[in-house]
Amino acid sequence: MKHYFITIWASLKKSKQTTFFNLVGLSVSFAAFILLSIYLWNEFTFDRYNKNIDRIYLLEMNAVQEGENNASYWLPNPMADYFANNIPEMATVCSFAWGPQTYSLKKNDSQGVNISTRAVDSTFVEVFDLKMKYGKRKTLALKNTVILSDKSAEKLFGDVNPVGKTIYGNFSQPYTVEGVFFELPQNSRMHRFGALCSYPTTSWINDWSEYSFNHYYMLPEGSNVEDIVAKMNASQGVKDWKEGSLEDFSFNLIPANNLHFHKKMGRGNLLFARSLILVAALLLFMAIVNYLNFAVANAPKLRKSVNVRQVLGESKARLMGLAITESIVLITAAFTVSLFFVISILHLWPNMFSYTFILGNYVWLIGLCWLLFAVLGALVSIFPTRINISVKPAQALAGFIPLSPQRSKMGKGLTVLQFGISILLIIGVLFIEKQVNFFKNYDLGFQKENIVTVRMPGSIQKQEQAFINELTKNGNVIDYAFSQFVPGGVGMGWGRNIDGKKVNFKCWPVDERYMKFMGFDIVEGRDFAENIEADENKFIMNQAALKEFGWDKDYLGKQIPGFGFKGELVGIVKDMKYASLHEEVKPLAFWLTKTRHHQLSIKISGQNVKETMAHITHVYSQFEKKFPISYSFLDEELDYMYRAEEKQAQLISIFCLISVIISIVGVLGLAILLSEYRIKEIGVRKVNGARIIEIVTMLNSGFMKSVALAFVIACPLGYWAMNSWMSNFAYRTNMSWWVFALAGFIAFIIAVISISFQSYKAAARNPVEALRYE
Amino acid sequence: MISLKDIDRYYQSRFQRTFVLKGVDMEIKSGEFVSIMGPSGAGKSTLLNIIGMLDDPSAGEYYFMDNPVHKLKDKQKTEYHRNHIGFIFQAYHLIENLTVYENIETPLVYKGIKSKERKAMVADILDRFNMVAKKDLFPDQLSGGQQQLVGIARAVIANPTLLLADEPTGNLHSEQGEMIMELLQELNKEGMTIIQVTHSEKNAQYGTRIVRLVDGLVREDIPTNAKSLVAE
Ligand SMILES: Nc1ncnc2c1ncn2[C@@H]1O[C@H](COP(=O)(O)OP(=O)(O)O)[C@@H](O)[C@H]1O
Ligand SMILES: [Mg+2]
Repeated sequence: MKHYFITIWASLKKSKQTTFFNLVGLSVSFAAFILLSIYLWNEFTFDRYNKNIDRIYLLEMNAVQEGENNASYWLPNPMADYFANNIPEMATVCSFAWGPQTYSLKKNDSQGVNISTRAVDSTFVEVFDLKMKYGKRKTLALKNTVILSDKSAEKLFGDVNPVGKTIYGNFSQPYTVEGVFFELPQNSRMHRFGALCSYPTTSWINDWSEYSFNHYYMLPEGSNVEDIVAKMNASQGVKDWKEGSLEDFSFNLIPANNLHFHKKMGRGNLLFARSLILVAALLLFMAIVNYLNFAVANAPKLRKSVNVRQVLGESKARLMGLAITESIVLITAAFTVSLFFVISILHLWPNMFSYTFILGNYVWLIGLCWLLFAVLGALVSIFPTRINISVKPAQALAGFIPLSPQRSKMGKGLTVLQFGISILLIIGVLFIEKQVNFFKNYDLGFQKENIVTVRMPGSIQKQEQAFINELTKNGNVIDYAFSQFVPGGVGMGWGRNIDGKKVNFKCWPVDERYMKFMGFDIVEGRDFAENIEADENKFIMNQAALKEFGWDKDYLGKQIPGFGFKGELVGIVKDMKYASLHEEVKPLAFWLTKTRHHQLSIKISGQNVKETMAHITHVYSQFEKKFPISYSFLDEELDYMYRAEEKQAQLISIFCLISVIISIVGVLGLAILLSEYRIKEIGVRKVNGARIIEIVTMLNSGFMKSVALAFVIACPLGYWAMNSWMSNFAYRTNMSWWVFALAGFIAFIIAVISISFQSYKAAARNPVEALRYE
Repeated sequence: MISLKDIDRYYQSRFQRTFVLKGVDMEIKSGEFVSIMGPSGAGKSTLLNIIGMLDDPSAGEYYFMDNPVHKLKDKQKTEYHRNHIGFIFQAYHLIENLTVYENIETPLVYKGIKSKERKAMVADILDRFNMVAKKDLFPDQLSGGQQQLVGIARAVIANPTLLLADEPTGNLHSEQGEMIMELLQELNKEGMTIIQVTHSEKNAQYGTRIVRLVDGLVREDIPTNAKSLVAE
């Protein structure tokens, strides 16, 4: 056994430089692969901590309006109860409602602790998993009780057991603490809830028009969901509801085990997760290709020693064993280095992913990665050894060692493959970055800079004018306007029948200043009058709404039905991108009203921002004592819609670049090996009058041809891939040809620089040494 | 044509200098056929490499066609390789993945000769060396003697003024060796200056002059037909 390792050590030492490159490439890609594995494992086992998760379904209502399907998950209580009472399989239901967001230890305390809370049915503990630290699992059956996560309990009470104590939700509603549960896993939808409280018992929760609840059903084991959905839609209740409704609708149950990636309900992004799987696979693939490349290129060097051993009576099995052991030693070394990388990366960038990784929790996963690497490495190492063993020993021992190995088609193919994947990845990175930039710099149709939006509590809305008077005393406050929503958060949808055609449009209640304040472009008719009395309850619509209604003339002056009133349409505003660029601009109506002034938008000068914000906060605190100010900058808020994408783009970019670097390292190592084989040829050519530059060109040309071929193959593939990736966006950047050219150019330059360096070293050597007869 | 003046070649290790050549003086005129002889390790190859501008002397002066080689830049030396000097090696040193034809063509490519002209020149020499049938074979498909023929063809195709051969027959049977030596003699008669390293007295007799080297010193420098005082 000792002999075994001496041999391995000797053979690794024989090719120090290439072993080094091999190790670097392997460990960097292993590190990246391990990180991605942990992340992806979290993403794809989201909510899986619930042992019943595969039996839990969320109630969905699909309303078909104008051919468009609108799914909603916030539904009234009686609707859920009807199904629970009439369809036996749906008997177990757990409903969720909003709970308090702030708790204090005393009633009307001056300060509270923010804890995001859901109110849940007492069936919660039956349907979802929960590990209790204090108290029993059978909880929340009583009115006004709450269970806290261990983290929240600590925030409120420190280390003591809080069971039985009373806390006050939103400073007024008393809740009795019934228990403390261990915080739910990071990769679960309920992780962000620091508390669960008992379901409200007030009468309004039984209102049919209160679309404010999520309903989860736990179906019996082995039940057929499609049958149950059919039963729901065929039930008498649904038939009766349809009778009294203008809309056509149906019900559905969507599996809770995949809610994380759900477009509306989830925060995950399946496209991103899948892209990362691809990136991880490519990373590993590149590493293995590198490894194979090195092994194949190294094989002739080791041939003689392999064959001497064969002649001395070493069995083939033992030789294979030796190769595999050598590979496992190398892989394990690279793996060890990669763990060091992983630890450093997590230390330096703990927020790289949306989870905080504690490596100790993933020992088994990391072990599995090692196993995967070792097996792949062993498979790869068998390959060149077989080539060597199959050579007749006599032939090899006759000393016939070629000047350069006849590089097999496979070897060249691997290089082309590496360059090709690198170019593809560079194309991908460039387009992803281009798309993100496109979003950030898109002309939205209004100015978003230097606008602060402040949420207005009822107390300030009641004395709006006094508040404004105080606020505008500061010279850096330039302008202001009130509205219910701000761009990026227009949330009220109206379906209205006007002149026989029904259209769903967004309604955006604003004051008389708002249109001018935002600089929205009125293209027809007029803006709201400065005297709000004159125009109250009138409307301005966007061009998209006009198009949707199909109006082409005489639309100004039409009467738009509001809440129990009708208001005149006084103007048309140019479409502005008031929502996310992920979707097309939807029909919209601005409603001039004195009510609903929930948001105050303030234009500030942009100078002394800190001082200006202090002024605003100070004025606010004079009018509202209890709820602290909540403000945001409009540009940041809008950019935030693309933050997830930006972060994802960054991550994908980083890992793609790692993968590109690995392949460059691989190619460089290969260049070293190949030039070693060609050392005699280089000498001969120099003696025959070749200049260094001619030798460098010769050594490079093979690689350059590979790059060129790879580019030709990668371009159409890249075009296709990016085209389908971008079809996920409503507003997308152009498929500019220069991106492809740039990607090719980058790959070419990187290849030229790294390979030329090595080629020059080989070409500048004195030929005498290479040609000495030994 | 070649003038070596007090040439030293030593290797410097940390503590000592090992002399491979010491005080070598030599004049070689155009048209001579010199055989360098001596025991292994005497410095024969080193001397040949210095003459062929592949190695630099540690001290002394070297004039090639009256130009001071010790003052030349690498680029100029390459010019001499292209236009004036051809090499033949004991191990042939053919390029494995090129055909016979392509191997012979190599120096012409570097000399910048046009493809058409190259074709004619390679065809000529293949004809002369009776190797037309072998032109598309690869080196490993040839016998040693044939490989050395290709080596010579490659060395002389650009019509160098000086041909350097380091043990050209060292790896060959005597019969093949004879053929090679006859060829070299013929080339010499046509006017080519040749310097060969050889271990064989018989092969040395093909030349016009014999230089005997022992431990880096020139022990004897006599015409072929003179009686050697040092040879056993
Ligand atoms: N790079 C080197 N470093 C040290 N000694 C060398 C080097 N190259 C050659 N020598 C020594 O120079 C001597 C002469 O070598 P060489 O000219 O090849 O002899 P030969 O007459 O057999 O052709 C030998 O003893 C050899 O060991
Ligand atoms: Mg020698």
